[in-house]
Amino acid sequence: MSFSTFGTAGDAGIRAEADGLGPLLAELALGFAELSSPEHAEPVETRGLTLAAREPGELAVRFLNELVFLADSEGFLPAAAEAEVKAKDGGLELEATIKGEAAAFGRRARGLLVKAATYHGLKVKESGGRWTAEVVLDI
Amino acid sequence: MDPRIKRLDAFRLEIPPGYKQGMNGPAIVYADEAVAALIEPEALEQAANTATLPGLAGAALAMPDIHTGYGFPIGGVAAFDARDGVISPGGVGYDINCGVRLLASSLEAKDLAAGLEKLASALYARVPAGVGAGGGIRLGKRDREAPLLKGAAWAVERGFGRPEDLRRIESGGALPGADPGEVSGRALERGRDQLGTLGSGNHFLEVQEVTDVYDEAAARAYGLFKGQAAVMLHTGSRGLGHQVCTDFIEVMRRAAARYGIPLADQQLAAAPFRSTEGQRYFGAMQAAANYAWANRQALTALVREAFEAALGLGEAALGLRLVYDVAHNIAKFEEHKVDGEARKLIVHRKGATRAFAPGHPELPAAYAAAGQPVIIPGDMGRCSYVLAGTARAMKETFGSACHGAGRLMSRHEAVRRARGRRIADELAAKGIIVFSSGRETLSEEMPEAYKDVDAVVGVVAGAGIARRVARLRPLAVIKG
Repeated sequence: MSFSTFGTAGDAGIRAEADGLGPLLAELALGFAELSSPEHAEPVETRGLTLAAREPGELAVRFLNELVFLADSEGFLPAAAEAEVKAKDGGLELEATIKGEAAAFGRRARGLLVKAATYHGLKVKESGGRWTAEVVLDI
Repeated sequence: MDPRIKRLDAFRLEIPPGYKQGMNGPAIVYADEAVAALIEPEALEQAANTATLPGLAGAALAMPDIHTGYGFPIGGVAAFDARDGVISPGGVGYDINCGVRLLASSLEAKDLAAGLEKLASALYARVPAGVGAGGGIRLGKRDREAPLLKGAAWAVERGFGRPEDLRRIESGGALPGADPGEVSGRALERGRDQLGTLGSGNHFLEVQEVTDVYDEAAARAYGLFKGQAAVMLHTGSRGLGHQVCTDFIEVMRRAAARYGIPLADQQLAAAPFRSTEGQRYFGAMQAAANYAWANRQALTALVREAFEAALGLGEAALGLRLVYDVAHNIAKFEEHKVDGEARKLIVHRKGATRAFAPGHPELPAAYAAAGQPVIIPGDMGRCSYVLAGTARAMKETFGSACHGAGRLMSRHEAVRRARGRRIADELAAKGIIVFSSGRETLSEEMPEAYKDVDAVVGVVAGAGIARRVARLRPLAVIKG
């Protein structure tokens, strides 16, 4: 499992890979945290998320937009994430537990202000049991 | 460049309707040879994609500061018929009503020299900036809708700024069709304490000096003179606007499927303007636009306070009169002539500035002869411009011009190239004081990360869609 960040024309993105869709989303969460602050947050508080989507790409964008909301509304930055994805009603349902730190921007060095996760150039796919993702964020 | 893209003249390229399946008209790109060489192929594809949306009026347009965006390119203008055309959140962008305003002081830049460091420090202390920086005006539950309805006037009612400021703001600083009921609880939550905050990224506050005046009559009308100290600020609707866009991209993806709108790009998701979804977005977008005007108005009051505190001068001595405030991420209901016929249109300007001609009824009386001030920020090391709208812009671009220099390199690339350099020291050597809260912000935003705004403005002026009035250089820069 791993993630990396990359630059686009005016913005930034996250690439991740993992051995399941849930772990892939967990890696994207860590990528989001790294872009938002170069200092690691502490896993001192927990947030739970439940989300539905029609397909994996949509799920990845919606999951990251949940993290954008938490970061912007309460300064919450992820330190670790566990995510499980199940098939439901012809689509997907995610249950995730995010550990991290609220009001983190007052204590941590500030990175990029992520406005949103986008569908631009979105790639989320599985091949031979290996999941990979590339998501572009509006900065 | 793709050989199918034709050069029309020294300042215009045409992407013909046959370039891509489904185009409903051409895309016109404003660029000379030098600027065209800097445009990413993907941005040109996006300009062509824009022309595939239903109800396109005339041509899709791209300004010389074009670069790749999401759905629409940044620097894109597209107008759709209000009866049978679409509205698209991707044509406005995440930072709804991101915009720029310019304040003209009564002081000359040389009057500030001794106190510039103190002034920059006072501005940095008073204006909340940076990632996660709330600290603005905290809205109670009962207050949350008022700025969304009243815009800049709400801020003035609360004591932020002067009533006369409102006359010098595009649309008077409030769009009448705002519908706060369509702004989600999440958007309101994100915007709860962000009124009166600058944000991060390319948002800034600059103390500037007017170094050149090109059009004396227009400069006089705008209250600008050579050597004058001025303040430019650039910000938008902060998290509230970002969330409105996020929410409605999802709504519009479903709507596009329902209405059978083919999407060349998911971020172009759109709905017919007259549909329920289209009207809901238009109401929410206008509410977010009004929030942005309230934000820039509140910041204006903080800037004036900082000047008074740092320089020990009163309002009369400082001036700091609002020259104008322009939106550069917005969709507006406007009437324009297309092929000689007056049509009601939804004009999307994403990274593009309204540039109405002299005599337009929406302009303040004082600017009727000069035309609308078009405020074009450059980068923090070179310069910015004030232009004026023209009749040719009304005829060709739905009264629009560029919005800035346009990014040339990614943030990652800028940080990589800035490694080992001290950007603040380099700017200090040019006499520019910089304050920034982000560790990497100065590297990401270094001057070379942007196109040369002189070249971009050269295209706009050469094409005749705006004319140069004044050029300003930065003296002190506050970044998030």
